[in-house]
Amino acid sequence: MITSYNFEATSRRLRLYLASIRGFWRVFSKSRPAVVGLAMLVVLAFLAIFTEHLVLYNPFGIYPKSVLIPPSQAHPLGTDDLGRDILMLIMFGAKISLAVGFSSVFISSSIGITIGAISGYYGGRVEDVLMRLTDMLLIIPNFFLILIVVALFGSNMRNIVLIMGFTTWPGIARLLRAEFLSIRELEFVEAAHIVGASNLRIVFRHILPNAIYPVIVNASLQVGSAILTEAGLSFLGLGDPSLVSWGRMLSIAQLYMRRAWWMAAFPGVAIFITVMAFNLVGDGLNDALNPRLRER
Amino acid sequence: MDGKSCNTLVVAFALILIVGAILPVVKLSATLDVASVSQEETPRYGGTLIFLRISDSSTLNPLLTIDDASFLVGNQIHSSLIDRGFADDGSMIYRPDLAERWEISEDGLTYTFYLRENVKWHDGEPFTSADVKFTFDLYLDPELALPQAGFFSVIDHIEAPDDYTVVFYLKEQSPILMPLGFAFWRNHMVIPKHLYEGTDIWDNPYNMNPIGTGPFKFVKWVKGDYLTLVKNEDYYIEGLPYLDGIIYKIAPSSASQIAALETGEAGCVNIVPEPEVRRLMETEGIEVFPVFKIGLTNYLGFNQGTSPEGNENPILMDEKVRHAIVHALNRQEIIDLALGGFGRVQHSWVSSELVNFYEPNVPKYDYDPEKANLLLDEAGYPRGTDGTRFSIRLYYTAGDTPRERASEIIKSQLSEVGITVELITADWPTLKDWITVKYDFDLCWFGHATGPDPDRLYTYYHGTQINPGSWQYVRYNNSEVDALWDESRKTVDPVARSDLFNQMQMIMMQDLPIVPIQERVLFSAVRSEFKGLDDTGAYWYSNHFDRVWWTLGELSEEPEPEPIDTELELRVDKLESDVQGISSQISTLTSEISSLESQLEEIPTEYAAPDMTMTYIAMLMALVAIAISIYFGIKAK
Amino acid sequence: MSMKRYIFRRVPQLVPLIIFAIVLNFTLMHLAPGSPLDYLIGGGEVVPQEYIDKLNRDFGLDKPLHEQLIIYISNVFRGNFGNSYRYRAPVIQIIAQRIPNTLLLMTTSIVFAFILGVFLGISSSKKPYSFIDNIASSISILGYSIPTFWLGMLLIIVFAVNLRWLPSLGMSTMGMIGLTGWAAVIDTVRHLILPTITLGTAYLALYTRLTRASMLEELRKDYIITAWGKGLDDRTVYYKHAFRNAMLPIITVFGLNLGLMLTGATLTETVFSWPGLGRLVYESITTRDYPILMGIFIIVSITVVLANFIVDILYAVLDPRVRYK
Repeated sequence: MITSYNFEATSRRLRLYLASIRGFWRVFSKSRPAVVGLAMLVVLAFLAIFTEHLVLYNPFGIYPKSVLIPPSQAHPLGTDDLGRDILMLIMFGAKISLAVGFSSVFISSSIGITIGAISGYYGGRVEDVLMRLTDMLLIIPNFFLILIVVALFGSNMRNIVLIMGFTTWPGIARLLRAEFLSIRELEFVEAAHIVGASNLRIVFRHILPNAIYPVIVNASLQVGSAILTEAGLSFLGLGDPSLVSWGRMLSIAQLYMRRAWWMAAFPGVAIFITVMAFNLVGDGLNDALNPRLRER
Repeated sequence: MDGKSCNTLVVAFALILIVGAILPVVKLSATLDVASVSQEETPRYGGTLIFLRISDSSTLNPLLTIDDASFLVGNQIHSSLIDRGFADDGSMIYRPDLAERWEISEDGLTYTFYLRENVKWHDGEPFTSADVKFTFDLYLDPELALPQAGFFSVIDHIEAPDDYTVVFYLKEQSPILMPLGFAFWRNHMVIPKHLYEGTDIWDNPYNMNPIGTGPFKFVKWVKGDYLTLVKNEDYYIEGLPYLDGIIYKIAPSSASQIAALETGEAGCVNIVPEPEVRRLMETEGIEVFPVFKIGLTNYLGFNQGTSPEGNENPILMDEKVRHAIVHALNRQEIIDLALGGFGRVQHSWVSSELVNFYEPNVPKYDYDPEKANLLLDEAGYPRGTDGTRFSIRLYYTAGDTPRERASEIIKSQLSEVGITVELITADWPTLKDWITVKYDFDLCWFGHATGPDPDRLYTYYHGTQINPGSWQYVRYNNSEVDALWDESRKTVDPVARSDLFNQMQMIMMQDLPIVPIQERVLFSAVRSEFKGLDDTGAYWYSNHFDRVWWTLGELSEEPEPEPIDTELELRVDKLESDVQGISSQISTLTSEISSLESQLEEIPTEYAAPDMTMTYIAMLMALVAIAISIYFGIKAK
Repeated sequence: MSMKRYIFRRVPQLVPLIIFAIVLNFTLMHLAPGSPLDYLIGGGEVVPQEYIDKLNRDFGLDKPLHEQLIIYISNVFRGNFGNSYRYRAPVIQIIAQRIPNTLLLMTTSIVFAFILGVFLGISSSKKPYSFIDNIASSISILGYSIPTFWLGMLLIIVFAVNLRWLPSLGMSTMGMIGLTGWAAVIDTVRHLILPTITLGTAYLALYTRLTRASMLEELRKDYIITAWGKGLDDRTVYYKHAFRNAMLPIITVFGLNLGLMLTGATLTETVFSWPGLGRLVYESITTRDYPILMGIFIIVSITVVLANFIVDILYAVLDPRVRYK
């Protein structure tokens, strides 16, 4: 019980925290691709958050006079079949892609971490049951299940994000459990037990911070793959029609491939660059955070 | 392998890739290899037509199903009593097929068909009137639950006085028995008695391995992939068919269908997606022609009904609101941008293609956003502080790109008058459940072909048809219209009947249960090497392909086959007035198309293929730049 | 514990898994709105009620849900997977027609990806940060990030439509049904090239990175230094020692991929009109062809389970430590 606020302890903790972040950054920034990836993500995030406010363009408008114009000065990436500027659409679409990626990974991480931590820490019957559950979900082919749910129950963003989150957590759970298994045998955990720390504290304060690294890496890679999955779903016509999404742009571009190749090319490049950015950052994180590599 | 040879290998690989990327620049002029198409009109023998389609047939027994994909094939394997066609002036006529000639009695209750005598089934057995009687008796058997039995319900009984004569006795006169019964492209085929008698027609193995009398014989069916037909050497018209065979192949993506058509991997595609129509018209080596499905329309249904089933939308129940919505739509723009640009704005629930039934004085709702705003204000839905009045949901089937784009345009146009539209999509069975069973919608896309007679839309608009699961999802209930419709079913005089439908249209288009959008024109595309397709009418792909020929085939010594004998074509006078107008419709549409085509020449920008050279080079440079930066980036690791 | 006991312990755990999967899938599908008849009856048609009733009876849809489930499971255990609603043919027959096509595509893609990926991975691990390493890493990052269907579309436009080097759709040239021998093989190969590249790129990327990472970790280990010290030549050290141990995680991933092989190709099959299982899945969903969906599902589940099982066994074979746990 804290009876008085201990400034010194807090600021020390804060300083230690900042130091570890700086340390992390030192390693991370050594890898140029990772930094490049991060830079791309920053640009994307900027687009996602500020495009609506900075750009005066209605991506839902119809512009009959500028239909299907090839890349040119007025429209650097061309226009689509409803006259919308492709560059603008890509900028507006960044938000959706990032939102889908992050929210589905958020859901799957939350579930995965919880289940992985519990089964990894407690072991025994609990672990058995939870692992069986995980296995069951691993058996069901992901894309298959997603297709079924979205086609059957309606394709809006909420359904898509939910079902993606629910089908991808087993990977994270397994990963975390494996880490827990190896860490919980370590001495400092035993020491914490002896001192009398509660289970919850041990898990959150001691084990989790060390076990989380592969999950972070995995999560960042998963964002990329979530974006690809959403693009695939939209491509099949199951995307959310009231949003600007890069995948949906590709689905419509199919019929215009011969007349207007730019409708198909650029959104694909956008998806590609975004996913690549997440992969690069994930790699960088792996190199920076993985204790085994760091020892060298 | 040591490092050096590895490096060389990789460099070689990279070089190949780069060369491959540059080549398109060089080969830009590559267009279709247009084989020197013979200018002669003499048909040649040989060749296989490869026909691409999206979905597979469900069965090859024409009696058991109603899905179009089955009849596509079925009509080549089987024959029917009569065939439909279009004369040079565009009027519809009936052509002899298995029946050489036919007579209808004065009182309209007896139809007699005189059959050809030299017809054999594909297995060698002779074809007789017993087969015809057997087939149509099946329709009359209530226990068999055949899906198309309704079309023949007016028949009382059938007799076959001799081997080559069949007589149908009707319970009452029927103006629709010929066009929708004997000549309709779906349900007019005859199956062999000697293979089906005494068996359970639903389980008979010949359903998947059919024996017919048509110009092509069944060979093989790999479900979901392809289906092969081969020439029937014993076809009853000597010297036909010209083709060696037909292969129906499934290509589920229309983009890849068109690609295959252009590369020559396929011979024809029965439906061309709207955005590609103009481009294909311009492409050498491919013929594009319109298909008249007779009254094909594209429209939106309002959820404007009341009924004990619930889910009513009080906003849409107000007639003023519905009028306002249609006034707010610039339908020509929707058609031009999203629906291909062909086809006219629809004004009545009866398409103007049905000249004898269409009422041109129907209330029309021109594009008038001011009036729309006025009506909405009057109806009591003023704009809120954010400029919007209310919100409605618009449903369309997943994957339907033209309607998706049209929906986006509608959303934008309606937002101008303060109505927010929410777009919702799901696959067809889900949608059907939401809309026809739960009535959980506000606006939904619909579209269908009427056929030559608007009576087919009874199930859509008649009051008695309102119940969950039926097509009366708009829940339109107007007793006046109901009474008129019932009367029309008893009226035989075509003029009086037409007048009744006119009255119905006047009332209904005032009530406005639907948002009429477009009278669609569908286009098909065929490679120019294939000639002789009867491409002037609806369901051209269901007519026998016996006279289709391949320009790269061989001439033969055989005598020419009998021409389609125009003297034998009988116009059934009673029905002439029903279908006469189609000719003028076709010529109007054809002239529309040619005027559009001449417009094409005046708009060079959109269709002149952009100069790809610079763009290719730029793309290449960009790729190289990315590769270099990544290389250096990773190197610094 | 011995191999046999290990196997016997694992097998009984598989059956309840599969049954659970069946029940889950069945319930999910039947809960969805709409019915198989919607596809068969289409838009705007009027059919007599007797026809609809007959269809419902034929499909067994007139019984309550739990009854349908029990009937289905008991049929499955007798080997009867039912008939497809759409094709009116036994499910097994239809799936059996399509499986070889998908297997062909996936096997070619994975083998291509595996061989090339492992080769690139090993080469790049020999000299980290060299030219080869950079190329390999570039390829793997690129390959992992490209949307497969987009790649497919581009390949079709460039190689099939513009260059005419390769066919654009399907598995065989239609005009030539009945090709035998070498001609048939070459024709199929020509049709396989583009889809394989499309599908295989992602896997290629995966295997390259995995092999490289795994090899790098192995190469740091002491016994490798011993091997160099002993004067062994390159090939022995890399392949005989390092790779054999580095293979473990690669095999695991390979096994996981095998399991997902059957449905992973849906997008590629759509773009190339390849008559395979993935496309069948998508079509069956939108037409509510439950028997086919369930059939595919069961087969895929069994395959996944078997693949995992085999991977576990392989692991036990390759890594003695596992056996003695």
